[in-house]
Amino acid sequence: MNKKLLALSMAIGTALCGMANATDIVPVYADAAGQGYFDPTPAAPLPGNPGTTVGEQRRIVAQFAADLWGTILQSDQPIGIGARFTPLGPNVLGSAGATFVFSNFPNAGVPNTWYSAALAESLSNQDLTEGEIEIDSNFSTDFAFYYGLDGTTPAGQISLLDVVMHEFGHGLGFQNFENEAAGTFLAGVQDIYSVYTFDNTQSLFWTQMSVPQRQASALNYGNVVFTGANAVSGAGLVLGPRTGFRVIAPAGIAGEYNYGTASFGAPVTLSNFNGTVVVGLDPAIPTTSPTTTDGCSPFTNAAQVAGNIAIVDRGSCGFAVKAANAQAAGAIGVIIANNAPANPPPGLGGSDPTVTIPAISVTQADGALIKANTPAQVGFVVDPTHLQGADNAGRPRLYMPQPVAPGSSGSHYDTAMSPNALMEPAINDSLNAALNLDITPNLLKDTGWHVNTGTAVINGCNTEVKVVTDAGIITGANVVATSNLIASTSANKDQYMSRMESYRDNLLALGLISGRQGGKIMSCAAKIGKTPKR
Amino acid sequence: MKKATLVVAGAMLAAVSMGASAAKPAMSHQEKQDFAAKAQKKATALRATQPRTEGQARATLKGVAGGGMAIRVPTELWTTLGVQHEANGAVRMTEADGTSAPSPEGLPNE
Repeated sequence: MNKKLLALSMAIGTALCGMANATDIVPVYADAAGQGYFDPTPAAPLPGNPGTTVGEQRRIVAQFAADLWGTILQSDQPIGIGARFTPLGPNVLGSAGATFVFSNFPNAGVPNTWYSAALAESLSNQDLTEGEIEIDSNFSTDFAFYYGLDGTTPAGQISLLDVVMHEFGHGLGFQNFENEAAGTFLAGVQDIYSVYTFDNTQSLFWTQMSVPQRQASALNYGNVVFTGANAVSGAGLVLGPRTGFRVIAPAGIAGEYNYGTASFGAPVTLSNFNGTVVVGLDPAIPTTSPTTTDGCSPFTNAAQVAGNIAIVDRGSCGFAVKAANAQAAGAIGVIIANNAPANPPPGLGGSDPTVTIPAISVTQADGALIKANTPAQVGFVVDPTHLQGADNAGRPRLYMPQPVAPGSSGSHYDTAMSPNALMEPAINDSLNAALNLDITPNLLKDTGWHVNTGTAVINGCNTEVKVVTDAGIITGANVVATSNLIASTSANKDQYMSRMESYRDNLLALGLISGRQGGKIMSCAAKIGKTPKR
Repeated sequence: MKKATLVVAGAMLAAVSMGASAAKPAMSHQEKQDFAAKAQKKATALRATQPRTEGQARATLKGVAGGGMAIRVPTELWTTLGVQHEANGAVRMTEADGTSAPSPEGLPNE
């Protein structure tokens, strides 16, 4: 065959293969007229979200999230996600989960194993739920979310998009179906997520354990990991070098220890938390602070504490009070040992703007060990040979706190990850799920999902922007979701093109696309037909 | 270019094109609306009967075509997302199980 023609055929074939199919994910709104997703309260348009009522902005966020996930995951079966805003009580943002799980369906990868409904339907290419929604979600009407889609969540607010992407992630399969407190699988059947859940202490997968072994593993903080090959390779691309709190001497207790951070004082850095640990002593006051190590009163051994790091026990007064007393004694930092057996150590709340020294917490057991070995040398160190939030083999850690946190234990990445990951149990405004899903798609791929390895297609045209990278950057998915959004909220083609041009310019400014890709986005945008009705 | 070569190349292109178009085309805007309207009617009933506990869920265990099994997921295995306000004004979210609300308190102060 003519070599040029063969090359042309191959190139076209490669291009077409790269334009893989996506999944239709459809929010199924359950709110009555005038409520929740149809709240008519006027709202000023926000960056990326042109809705003019609260309800419309909420629907735009839900559809945007659906389009992001729908572009990343591939399935010929549509996924219905029940979506409702409802009062959920103080500080509750929302809830979500799979409505059904299935086992032993056609093309199930692992026999006798639960798969979430959406994944089972994708693998079997059958409507196993027979028209029912595959995922259900509820979000709170009591909370002022940020509805913008640009990732610039104002301080003190929470991005609804991040929350929705997180919860949809659970519904799609980032979840086990196991009761961690009891150690039992749902109806006695293992799930695909647990197939990859491995305990480094027991050297067993959860699916290999007895019920008591699994109960113990669910409390084994820091030692349970996800072993899927894609999640592991993604962790190597996403996670930073391990930064740890280390006891350097005496040699008998040298090693890394779990720690919690504080909402007051200076943030811990490599340079401000190195030194000698000394127990801070204060008077015992029987009615209010009965021990001499709770740090609730001015220290009696300031001469020993000065220039060192004080360690005191939790209890009897606020964390910030203890830190202030340590600082007044001349300490350069403070360690607060928990007074109850829990792991990871608690975050330290409280406020005192006069506290300028850094503070951390350690577990009760670790605190006792350090106190018994004072003076001890400690410090924060960076280990470039290992990953923060992964085990020594580079496998991402799963969240297994002690005591069990039902619904959180097991089904999340560990809070120790850095940078923060979308599927940690405590997510915050450092995330930007519109563009970065870190190693979440990798884990879903391990469970059986087909992840779109191709490029973003808009208006039937290949933009050449990768849908999702191995490191979870979803620029291509964002292109598709944004094009859909702009098309559905533009009055005509001219407006669509103008807004796409601004969007393209933003991506270029952020360095997320090349000039060529920017050109392709616009040439693909120009292929749009009639914009759908708003 | 030889005619035979053109035929082969054409066949290859056609095959590749068929492969690319074999995937189900995306739903149109109207099709999504129709899908949602249809699903919404069933979703209301489904939500009302979603089991809360594993004990309740076991009653929904059933066989499905092809020898498989299905069970409805109890909401106690769903996640509920909560928020915590830190003293410095920062917020963070925490999750608890589907039957109990997350702690209404912020980070512990003592």
